[in-house]
Amino acid sequence: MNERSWRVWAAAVFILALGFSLIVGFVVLPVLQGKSVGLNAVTAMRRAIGLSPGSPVLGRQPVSREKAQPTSLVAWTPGLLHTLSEPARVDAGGEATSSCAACHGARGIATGPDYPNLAGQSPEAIYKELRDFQSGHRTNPIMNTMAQPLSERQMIDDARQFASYPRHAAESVKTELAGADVVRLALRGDPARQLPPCNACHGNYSGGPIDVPALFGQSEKYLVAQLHAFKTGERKNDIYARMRNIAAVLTDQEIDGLARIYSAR
Amino acid sequence: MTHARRLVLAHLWLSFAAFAVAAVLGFWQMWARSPLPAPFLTAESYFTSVTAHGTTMAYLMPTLFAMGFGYYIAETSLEQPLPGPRWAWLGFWVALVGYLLAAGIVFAGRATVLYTFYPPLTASPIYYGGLVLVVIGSWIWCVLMIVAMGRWKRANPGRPVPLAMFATTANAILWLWTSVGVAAELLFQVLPVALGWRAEYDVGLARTLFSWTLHAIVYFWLIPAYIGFYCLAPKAAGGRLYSEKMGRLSFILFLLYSLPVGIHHLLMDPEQSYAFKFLQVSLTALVVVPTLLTIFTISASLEIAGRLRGGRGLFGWIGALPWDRPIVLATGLAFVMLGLGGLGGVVNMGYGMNAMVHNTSWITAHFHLIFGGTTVIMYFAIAYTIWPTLTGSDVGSKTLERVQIWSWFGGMMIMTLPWHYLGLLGQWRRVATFDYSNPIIARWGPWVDVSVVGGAVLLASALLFVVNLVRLHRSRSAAAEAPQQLYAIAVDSRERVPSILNGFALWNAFVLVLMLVAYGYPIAQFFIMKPPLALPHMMKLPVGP
Repeated sequence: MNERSWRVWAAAVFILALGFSLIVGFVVLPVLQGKSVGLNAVTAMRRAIGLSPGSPVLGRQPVSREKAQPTSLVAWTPGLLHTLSEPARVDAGGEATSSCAACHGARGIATGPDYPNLAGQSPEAIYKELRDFQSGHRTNPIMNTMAQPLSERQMIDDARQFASYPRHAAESVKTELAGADVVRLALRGDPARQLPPCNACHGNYSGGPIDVPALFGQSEKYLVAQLHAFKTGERKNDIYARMRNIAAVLTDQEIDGLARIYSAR
Repeated sequence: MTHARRLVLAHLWLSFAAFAVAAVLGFWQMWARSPLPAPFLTAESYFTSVTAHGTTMAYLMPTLFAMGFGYYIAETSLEQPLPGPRWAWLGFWVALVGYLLAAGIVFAGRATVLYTFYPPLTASPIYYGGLVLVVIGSWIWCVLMIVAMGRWKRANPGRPVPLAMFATTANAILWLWTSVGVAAELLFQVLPVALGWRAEYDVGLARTLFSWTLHAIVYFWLIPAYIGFYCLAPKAAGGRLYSEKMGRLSFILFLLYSLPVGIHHLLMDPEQSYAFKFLQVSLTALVVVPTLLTIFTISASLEIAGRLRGGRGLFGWIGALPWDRPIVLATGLAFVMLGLGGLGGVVNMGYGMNAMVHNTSWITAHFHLIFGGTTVIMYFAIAYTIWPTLTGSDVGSKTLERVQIWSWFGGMMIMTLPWHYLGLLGQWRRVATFDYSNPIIARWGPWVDVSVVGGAVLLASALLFVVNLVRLHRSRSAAAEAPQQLYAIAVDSRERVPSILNGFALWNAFVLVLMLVAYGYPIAQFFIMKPPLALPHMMKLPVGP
């Protein structure tokens, strides 16, 4: 073969291979498949290329009539996250509104062991729970009533304010307060039971979901109550049932031990 | 001995030293996923390890090998000094600094995003910056290879460029095209978010740009191994290359059909449409052409050698081949792994079958067999072949070299065959631990244990490889043959080759057309429609007091 025929052959084979793929993929397949489900050629081809939504092999897209049952109504939109990340309106020296402070303390340290400390939680964690109390996705006789009248703006402001107070807590797990098994659970988890380490999400340098609460320095009684509530399914506002699945395989002794090491000051 | 001896050795040593460390991590990862209790195992340490292993094995090791081997070929096959040796050293240091930054930040626990770093997973910007430096170092190599071939062609008008150099330049051009995708993803999507300049990712666009790179990069790794098949193995076997034209055609086809095919990695993704998936899958299928051309040509070349050595009958030539020579042995074993891995690849390429194996251990097994198996075993053999010409001494232990190559093959088989099976059973990849007490997956356990044994054999083989190289490096005895003697002469070597088989102008135009057709609209759609955006998912950084 001479120079010219090499070029001609190369171009011919190239165009043939590309042309075959284009004609079959963009015309033949969508038109034939669309025809069998009653789509006209233009719609089928537009769908195949991606100019219209839908698939060329389905006449109508399936629609589910099931009503979704969300675990929470909170949607982490960029707008909401941006608002939550702004500094609190009241400066950090200010005090919380009296209705919150009655139980959660003027500076976020609770007035009794039944109530959680809010100081130093992330604004996302506080907002998520407030919103869930308001919508009824988390139930508590006092909090459902308290959250009901709050506006979106008030919930955001409260979340940011409590988040701005300093937390009084240990910086790491107090290993001396519980047995080696419990400490191991907190730091390393237990792969055999599909238990991730608590610290993977709740530790100080964690990479967990954005609304995960900080546990260090939390009330011991409150932690025990919440783990039991997750275990029995009484509390169910955890997305993907993460905490329900975890708590379900914890023993009562482990729950007590974990609450002890995380509540240490 | 070559002028660029120290340059080549620096590249190869860095490549293989990093490889040995990453092999240790790889073994530990296999152990971590098994029912056997592994030390240091947390989810965080697992993903740190996988990220370090992938970053080293995918970005540093093959790139440095391709660069070092390319410099060697440019000097020895063209028999002219390397252009811009200072630039070459600059490329080396830039890549080394980049790698140290990336690896450092991975081990600091700030980049557990795996080597594919799919957004919205987000790592420290230092990780991405390090990778960019590795790529920039390799771009310097690309330019030097193109310049070296251009100079030689001007000095030798009308003569065919030696096949090894033609293939190396094809690889350099391929890599320039390939790296554009990931570079665009890093510059316009990942880095702006990692640096906090932008709040959201366009995940579909980022994944599409990465797919541009993700398949072609495999051919960038593979081409040095193919150079071993075409240029070194036939000579070492004592024969001739059956057809040089076939070789040129194969490398050109790799350049054309490795790039416009990456969307086959996105078959299960919603952001790309049916027709473009079909188009890219059908172009993917064309890779069987250069693969079969190669298997035919190399088998024919080895048959020539076998018959010259006295082999008779239909298959007698196979037994007559000098299987004690590392590169001949590695070529044979690489073909076995290429055959099995290629069949697995055909499964991945089919839309329906892909849906079944997608995101399972099958995929991990496939790319370990093709890259870790076929490609890396040839890297070993190429190193054993060219090392004596670099250090001027050829002792080493041929027995240990054979043991190393056989054990790598055996280890890879023991590890990846059960892995394929586990994938069919549904075992997920990218997962740190499994609850083998769960009756649904309990029967996976024994197969994973077998894979761990394979991993242990591979680790032993990797360490033996480094030992062999050190022995080759330190031995002081008989001088080796001249590097030029290593390259096979082709049966058709005296012929003039047509100019389109001696340059890349036309083929680059074809690549451009293919990329515009295959990726034009799939990328443009993200700018035409308003895509949903995603927030970065990042490890939380230490909070202040």
